[in-house]
Amino acid sequence: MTSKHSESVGQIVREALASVIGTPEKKITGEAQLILDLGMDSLALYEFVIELEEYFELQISDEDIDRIHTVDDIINEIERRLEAGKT
Amino acid sequence: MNHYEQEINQLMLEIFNRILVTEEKALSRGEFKDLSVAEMHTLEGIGLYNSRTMSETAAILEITTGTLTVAVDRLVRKGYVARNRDASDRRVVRVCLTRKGKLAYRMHNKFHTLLVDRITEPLSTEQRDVLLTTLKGIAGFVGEQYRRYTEYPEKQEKRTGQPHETRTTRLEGTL
Repeated sequence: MTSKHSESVGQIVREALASVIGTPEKKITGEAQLILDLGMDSLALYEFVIELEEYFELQISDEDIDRIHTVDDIINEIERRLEAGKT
Repeated sequence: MNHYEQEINQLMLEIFNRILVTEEKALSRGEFKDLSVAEMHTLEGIGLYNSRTMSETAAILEITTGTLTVAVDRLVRKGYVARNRDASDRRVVRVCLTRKGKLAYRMHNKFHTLLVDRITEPLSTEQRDVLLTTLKGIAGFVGEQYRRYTEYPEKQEKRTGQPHETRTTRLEGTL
């Protein structure tokens, strides 16, 4: 992992989410559902995903997005990819 | 034209026209209303994660580099595309999507995914297979006719390995 990713994935995901939906980071819990709880529509969801793709230099497909429901889901998915990338 | 042929013809025209109009209307009412369908397809040709050269992109879109340059100029002005010089060869220009371009691409892609999902949802696995095989056959035939009318004779000869005249004569009776 590069130094760029030294900040925790969870922290970066929350920051990105907060900037897209305009909700304070503190109010974003791991169990929060992106669509049902945080009220994200497809445009906001894609904005968020693109932000993460660019930051972590990875690709998140629509099929991946369909499997992601909560904030923790996306954090786990990114951590898993970064871990796999190290090997 | 018998009744069966009339019905097939009518359905094909209807599908073709309505998809085009729906795509256009969906775009004009959405977040990216400053994009035309043609411009959206240029974004698709550039690709979500690629940084392609102008000639690669033009080849994918089957347009000339001149036409692409005009389209890219407009898309750069609108903020959807970025143009950069190749790091290893400064003579080569590469194009890629900006964040706004990626967003438009993904939203448009979603539109197409939903369209296909709604069409295939009520079908059984066997019906989906038949649909796919049939559509491949139609696409192959239409693609052949498209090239026949749009390609330069020399390019057609190179691709098919047959003299242009012979090929045209052979196809004459079929369409």
